[in-house]
Amino acid sequence: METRLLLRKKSLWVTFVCGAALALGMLIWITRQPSQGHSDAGGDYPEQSGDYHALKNPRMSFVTYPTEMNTRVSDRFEEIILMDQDGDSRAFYRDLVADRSTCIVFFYTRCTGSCPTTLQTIKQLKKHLDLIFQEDELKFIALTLEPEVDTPEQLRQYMQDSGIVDDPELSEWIFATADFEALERLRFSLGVYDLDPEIDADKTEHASLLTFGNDRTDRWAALPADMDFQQLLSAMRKVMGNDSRQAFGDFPKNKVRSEVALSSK
Amino acid sequence: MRKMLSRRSLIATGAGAAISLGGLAAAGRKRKRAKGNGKKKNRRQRNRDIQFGDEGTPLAVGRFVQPLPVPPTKKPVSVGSTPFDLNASEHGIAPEYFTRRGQDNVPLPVHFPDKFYQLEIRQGFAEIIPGVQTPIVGYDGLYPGPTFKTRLGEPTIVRTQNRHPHFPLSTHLHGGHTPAHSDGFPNFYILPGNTRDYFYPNCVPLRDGAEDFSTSPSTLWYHDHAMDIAAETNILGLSGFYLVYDQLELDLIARNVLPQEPLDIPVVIQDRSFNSDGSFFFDPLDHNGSLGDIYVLNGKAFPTCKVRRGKYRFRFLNGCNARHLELRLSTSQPFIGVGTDGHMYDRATLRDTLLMSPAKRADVVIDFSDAPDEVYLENILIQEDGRGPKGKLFDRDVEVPGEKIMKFVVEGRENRRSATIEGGTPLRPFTPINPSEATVTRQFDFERRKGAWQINHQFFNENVANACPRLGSTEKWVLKNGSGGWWHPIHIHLESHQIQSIDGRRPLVGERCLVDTTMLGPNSEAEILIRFRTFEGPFVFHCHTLEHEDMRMMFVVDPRRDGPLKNQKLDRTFF
Ligand SMILES: [Cu+2]
Repeated sequence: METRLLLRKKSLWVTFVCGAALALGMLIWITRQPSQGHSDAGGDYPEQSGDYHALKNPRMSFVTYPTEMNTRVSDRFEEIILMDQDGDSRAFYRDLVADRSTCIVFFYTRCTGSCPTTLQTIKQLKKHLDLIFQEDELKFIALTLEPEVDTPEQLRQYMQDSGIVDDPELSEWIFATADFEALERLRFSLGVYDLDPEIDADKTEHASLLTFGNDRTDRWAALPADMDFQQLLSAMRKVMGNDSRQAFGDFPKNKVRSEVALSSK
Repeated sequence: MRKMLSRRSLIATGAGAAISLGGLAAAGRKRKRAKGNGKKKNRRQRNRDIQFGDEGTPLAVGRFVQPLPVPPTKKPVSVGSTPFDLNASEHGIAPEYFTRRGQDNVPLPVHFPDKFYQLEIRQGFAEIIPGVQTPIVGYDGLYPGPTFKTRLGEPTIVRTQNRHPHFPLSTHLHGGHTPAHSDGFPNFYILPGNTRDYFYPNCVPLRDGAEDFSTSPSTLWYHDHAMDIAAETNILGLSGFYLVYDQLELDLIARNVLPQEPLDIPVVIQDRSFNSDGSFFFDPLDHNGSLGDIYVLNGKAFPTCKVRRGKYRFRFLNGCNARHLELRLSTSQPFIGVGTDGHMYDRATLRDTLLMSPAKRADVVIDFSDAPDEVYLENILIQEDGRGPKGKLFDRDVEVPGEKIMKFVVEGRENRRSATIEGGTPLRPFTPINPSEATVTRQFDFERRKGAWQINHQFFNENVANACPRLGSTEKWVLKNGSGGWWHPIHIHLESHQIQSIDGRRPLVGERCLVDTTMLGPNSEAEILIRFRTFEGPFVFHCHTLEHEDMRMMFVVDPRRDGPLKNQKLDRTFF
């Protein structure tokens, strides 16, 4: 693939610049890698065991590979200006999504049904993902479905009440609001809607869906927050990972029912 | 296009360097969090010259100007002797390869020496629209993949290497009677760079100690079944045909009842949308099911197929993610139905139209003997979104004439050696499953909930065996579609099934023999009979609208010796 792309290039100098940048990047990248099998992200992976038995090249980076598409999924996200819990303006794509992995959820502070459970799930996910990703590689974004109620103050209060603290050494989790129409456009552009307007009007329908992706590798998916936690976590790693360790590290081992063991040959 | 590619690779390279530098800084000490990094460029500007295909393909697509290609036949690397070290594949080979035994140690019927293939999954380009290069991911880099042609009782080993840089993949042989290791269970991956040796015994199940030839399959296909991304990998091109011939079918061909190659043509029909740069339009966040406005047949948009006057066999496969098809000939002439999904009928059956959900096959003969010089293949079904066609299963909204998707150019005088099949011709003897055989009844409700999809109010869980039939037994399943306006084609792995009734009626013509996918329309309720033989699980069953499958509308069926059970911990895996 790489070779083919190089051959297709019109201007060769671009190739050299790319190559030099890549070489420099990889050199720095490699020099700061700890030996294989260790985690450099501040701890072991919780509740997982085993080694990379299944993976030939556990450090293969996805980012240096060209994606299949010239377009990006995020090209079609509605770019809107959000206001976060501190009252700061943040452009949804440019400031939050661009060039990193994100996990996005819609919620509202008055919601007593699915939202608290979903946020607790995200808290747990974040705890795990923070061990795998660098803090600037990852962001969590909670967007309100009720901007008329959820002012920045309200959001900040909600974060405090939910025990969500901002630790600059970990990935950021912002709670944000915006103009209602703009938020609705964003929600639809993220695929968080129902074709049936009656179901779509029920806010709780949207409050347990996690939309996550990686703008660098252009991979995106969404999953229900109340599915099995470990599987959700592993799906998020696969989609959000920048390299094969973040995506697949610590793959589970086979189980073989004892009476079916490889006996007769 | 070329310019864009160079730019993309520049962006990618730049990003790689950026992380490295960022990581270096982090290795030292604590950093301040920068809010609103003003240095980031707006990607929208970079891609401003690209138009997306979400509202229809923004390219001029010539219709009926390209010939319909036939995918190449896959060549084996070895017959009889093992060409590669079977211990060298990272994900191994099925234990059944060594034991050659199924349930209760019964030997698998083998009639031919082992045949070995090597298959590579890799990125490539395809010219689907004339003059436009589309980036694809294909088996052997082809779109669609090569066609496997195999014999019943011919053990087939396919060493598959995943050369995609970051997709974990899992190949499913759709309609196959296959060991669990090789069935494409969603997380029995081939990780990037790795290989898995798929073992397809190509056997039929045993019944009372003898081979049950009534379930011998003809038209199978293989496609990617990896968790979370089956919709994306199907759009990008990971599918191909896998044909199995048994003695009965070869005799029908030898006796000229059925047309033979090159008059036997597999045709995969896919709907795709393209961006203005030629790439596929795919939105992984469209959870309803993606539809395209360009019909692609065997990898070419709106092709033309030249035929002589006489009979041709076509094995149509609906390879769409979410679009249902109802095919019709512009002459109103009926198709001579040979089979549905993998299975030939008891007798050839005339069918005016071919209703096919995603994944379904229609094995038909078209008689061009008295045809005009131009005949069109049309899709008459109206479908506007991923929910499914308008209307209900037995009351569908159609328009006639429909959208022309392929043109047949009919030439010459009648072929005097034309095949002899006609409505009523005996094909494969079939004894229906007797309802009294069923010892267990299970019900499965398919519903949309919380922005995703559930079966019996549960999301797919790869560690739970939801249904564990006893190996060798027959069960009755009730498949119930509860959700408003949605269609769900339900595909069950390992064995084909028999639809007893659907919506309180006899199944549609074409669905009355064995099928591997049952189409549920809005509020449909189907009663099916299914046997579970030969191989222990785990296998899956799921909605074959691939976006619904990815969004967890999937269950595990795990035939066990100590069944029937339900909701067991999964205790047999082949990563
Ligand atoms: Cu479905």
